[in-house]
Amino acid sequence: MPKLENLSLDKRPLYLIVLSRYSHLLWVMATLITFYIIAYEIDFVGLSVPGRHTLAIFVLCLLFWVSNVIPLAVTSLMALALLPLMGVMSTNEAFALFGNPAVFFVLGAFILAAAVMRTGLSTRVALTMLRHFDRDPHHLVTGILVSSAFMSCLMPEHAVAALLFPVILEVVRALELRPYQSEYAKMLFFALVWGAVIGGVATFLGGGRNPLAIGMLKEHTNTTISFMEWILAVFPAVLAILGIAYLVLVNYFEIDIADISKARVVLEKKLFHIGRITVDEIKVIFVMVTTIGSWIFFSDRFGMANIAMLSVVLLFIIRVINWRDVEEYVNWGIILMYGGAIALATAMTKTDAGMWLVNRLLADTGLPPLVLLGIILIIANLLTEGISNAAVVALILPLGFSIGEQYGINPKVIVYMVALPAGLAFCLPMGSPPNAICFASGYYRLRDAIWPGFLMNVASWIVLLLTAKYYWPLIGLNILQ
Amino acid sequence: MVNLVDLKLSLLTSGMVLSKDNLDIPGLPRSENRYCGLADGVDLILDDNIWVNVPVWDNHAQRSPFRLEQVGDQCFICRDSLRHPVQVAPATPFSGTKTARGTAMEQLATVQGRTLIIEPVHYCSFWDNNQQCHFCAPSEFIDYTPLPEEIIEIVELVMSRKLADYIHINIGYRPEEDRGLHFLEPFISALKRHFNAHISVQIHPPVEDHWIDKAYAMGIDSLFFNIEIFDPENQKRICPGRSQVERYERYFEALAYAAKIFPAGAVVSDLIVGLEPTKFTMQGIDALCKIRVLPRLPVFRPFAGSGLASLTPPLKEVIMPVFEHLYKSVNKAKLNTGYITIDSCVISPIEANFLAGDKPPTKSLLQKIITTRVGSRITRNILEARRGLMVRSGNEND
Repeated sequence: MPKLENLSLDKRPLYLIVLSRYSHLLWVMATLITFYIIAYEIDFVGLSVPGRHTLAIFVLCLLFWVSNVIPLAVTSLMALALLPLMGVMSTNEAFALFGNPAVFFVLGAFILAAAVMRTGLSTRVALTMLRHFDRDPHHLVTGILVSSAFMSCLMPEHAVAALLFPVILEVVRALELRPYQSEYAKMLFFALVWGAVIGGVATFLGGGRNPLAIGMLKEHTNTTISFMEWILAVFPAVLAILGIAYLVLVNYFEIDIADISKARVVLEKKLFHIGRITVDEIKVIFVMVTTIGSWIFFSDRFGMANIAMLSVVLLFIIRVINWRDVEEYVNWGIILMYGGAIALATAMTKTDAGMWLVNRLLADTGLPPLVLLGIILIIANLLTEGISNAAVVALILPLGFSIGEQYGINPKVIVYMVALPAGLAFCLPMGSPPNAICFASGYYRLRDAIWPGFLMNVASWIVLLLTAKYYWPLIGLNILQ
Repeated sequence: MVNLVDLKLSLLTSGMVLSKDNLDIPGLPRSENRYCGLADGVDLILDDNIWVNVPVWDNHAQRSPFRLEQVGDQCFICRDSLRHPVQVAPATPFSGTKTARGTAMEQLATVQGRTLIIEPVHYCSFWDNNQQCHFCAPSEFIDYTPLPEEIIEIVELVMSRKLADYIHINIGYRPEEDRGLHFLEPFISALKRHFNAHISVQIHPPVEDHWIDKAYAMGIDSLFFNIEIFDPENQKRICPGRSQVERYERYFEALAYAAKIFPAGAVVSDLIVGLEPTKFTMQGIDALCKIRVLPRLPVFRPFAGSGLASLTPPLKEVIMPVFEHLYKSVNKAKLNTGYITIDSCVISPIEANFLAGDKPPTKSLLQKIITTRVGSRITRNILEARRGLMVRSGNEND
C-alpha cells in the first residue's frame, strides 16, 4: 500500500473519473464496433471482400495507432493476426512479411547505435564537436544544432537527444539561466530538438521510419532506394531546413547572455572525464565506417539488411557489446511495429483497398501532382505532431502509393513526401522523442514551442516542395513516372 | 405487539435486574474489568436485529422494574404483564484469551451489538490533566501499542464465530495534527488486506481537511467525529479538554467536508441524549442533517468513575420526542442510513423509525438489501470500487 503521504483524492464527479479512467475501453469498444460495421455490415461497391476486410483492419489500426490505446507494436501484431484470420492473405504470407529486410535493417541500426552509446563514442563525438563551438553564445547554438543534426545522421535521433540533453542541461545550469525566462536557454534546447529531428531524416540511421518506408516501397513496387540514393535526394533539403532552423532560432529568440565561459568549463570538464579514446571505441569506429561504407557502395549487391546483420555479428565477435546491452538499448517495440505495418500496407496494395479509398476520396479532383504531394506532405507533417512517426508512415504511405498510381506519381517521390515530413515534428512534445525529452527540462512552456515550431513546419513544406520540383529532376527523380 | 425499540429505550434508561444471582446463561456474570466500549451491561438481542446493552451493575439498575428470567433455554424480559422472549448475546471470546504476543484481547477489543470495537490504545490525552469529558470514565492506562497482527488475530476470532459484522476503531484525543490517522494507518491497511469488512473510525477532527482525504484513501469506510453535546456552553462545561484545544465550529467544518468525500451516510456524529435539554439535541440533529451527516443517539449512562456518575439516566418519556425528531429529520433530509452499524448502546436512525409512530415503517428497499449478507457484500465491493476510482497514489499524479 502506498504511503499515507502519497495518497490523495480525485474529487471530480464519479462519472468523470470513470470516463477518464476507462475511456480507453470505451474507445476500444467504439473502434471494434466500427471495425465490425466496415468489415461485415457495409457493402462497398467496387471493393472485394478481402479488400473490405483489409479496409476494416486498416481503420482499426488507424484508430488504435492514433489514440495509442494499446502500444503501437501490439496494434501491429493485431494486424498481423487479423490479416490471415479474415482471409486477406495466408498466415505464411502475413508472417513472412514480418521478416521484411527493412525490419532487420532497423534492428541492425539499433544495435550499432547501442554499441556507439555503450562504448561512450557518441558522448566523445558530441562533446568534441561542442567544444569546437564554444567561442560565444551564437557559436554554441550553432554547435548544438550542427552536432545534434550530424549525430542523428548516424544514430537514432532519440538516442542523440538522450545523449545531449544532460550536457545541455548542465550547460544551462552552469550559465545560471532561469527556467521559462531565459530566451537563450530555450534557444539551446530548441537547437538540440530541431537539429536531432532534421538530421534524423537525412539517412536511414536517424529513425526507423525511413527504412520502414523503404520496406513498404519494396513490397509495393519491388523497387528500393539505396542508402546513397536517399542521402543524395534528401541532403540538400536537410541542409536548407537546417539553415532555416538557425535563422529562426537567432531571430525568434533573444540571446540574453554575453559570456558563456562557464559553459566552456562544463564541456571541458566532461571531455576531461571521458579521458582518452579507448580500444572499444576504436573498434566501433572501425565497424561503423565499414558498415556505412558498405551501405554506400555495396547495398545493391549485398542488401542493406544483410550488411547490417553481419556488422552486428562482428560487434559481438570483437566483444564491444553483449546481449544485455542489446536488450537495454534496442527499441523492440518499433521492430514489432514495423513488421505488422509492412504486412498491412502490402495487404492494402494487394486487395486494392488503398486504391479504392483514394478513388472515393480524390476521384476527378483534377489537382496537379505537386499540389497532391503538398497535401500528402502537409497531412503527414501535421499528423506526426500528435502520433508516432512510424504510425504516420504506416497509415499514409499505403494511401500515398494508391494516389501515386492513380495520378502517375513516382512511388519513390511518394516515399520521400511521406517519410520526410513524418520525421519533421517541430511543435509539440508528443511529436518526437527529442521534443518530449527537451520539454521535460522545464525551461520552456508549450506556447514557446508552438509558433517557432509551426514556422519550421511551414518552412519545411516549402523546402520539400521546392526540392521535389527543382532539385530531384536534376538527379533523375521525376515527380511523374 | 411490543415495539422493540421502545423496549430498547426503556431498558437503556431503566436497566434490569437478574432474577437470580447467577443465571445459567453463557456470558453471565460479566467481568467488571472493561477496558473498551461504552458500557458493561448485558447485551440482549430483541427481535429483528435490535440489540440493547442493558445496565445491570449500575446503581440505577438495581431499582429497575425490568427483570431477566430464564425458563429452560429461553430467556425473557419481564415487567408487569410484559413477558418478551429475548436472547442473551453470546459471550465475547476475549475473556482470558491472549494474542500470540501475550496481550489480553479484552484489553484491545470488545463486542457491542454486532460491532467489534477496537481500541488499539486505551488512552485519551485529556486524561493527562484531568480534562476528560465528564461522561467518560478514564481507566487504567496501559502503555502498550499492539501490532497490526494482534488486531488481525482478534478480528479473525470474532469473524470466524460470526459475532460481529462491523469493525469500529476508537482512539481518544491525540494532539498530533492528524489526530492519530498515521497511527491507525497500519491497522486499517492490515484489516483491509485480510477482511472484507466495513471499518468505521472514531477520532477527533484533524487540523486540516486534507487528512480527511487521506482517511478515506487509506481505507476507512465510515468516519465519526462526535459532537456529543450540541449546545456550545454545555459542551464547554461537560467536555472541558476539548473546548480548550479545538474550536467548536471545527467539528462541523470537518463533518461537512467529510460528508462530501465519503459516500452518503458514511459520516456520523454522536449526540448524547439526556445530557442537555432535548431542544438542543434536536437542534443538533437538524444541524447535522443539514450538512448531510448522520446523527446517532447514544443514551446517557452514568458510568462509574466518570464525572457524572452520580446522575441518573434520562426518563424515557422525556427523551422520546428526540428520537421521533431524529426519524423525521433524517427522512426529510433523505439521508442514507444503510451503513449504520448495529450498536447496542445507541438508537440509530433506522431504529428511530420504530419510535416515530404506532406502526413501524418498513425499511426502504436499499436498507433491506444492504442489511442482508449478500447485499452488504455487494455494497462493500461497490464502495471499494468507488474508493479505487478516487484514490491517487503519488506516482499516478506525476
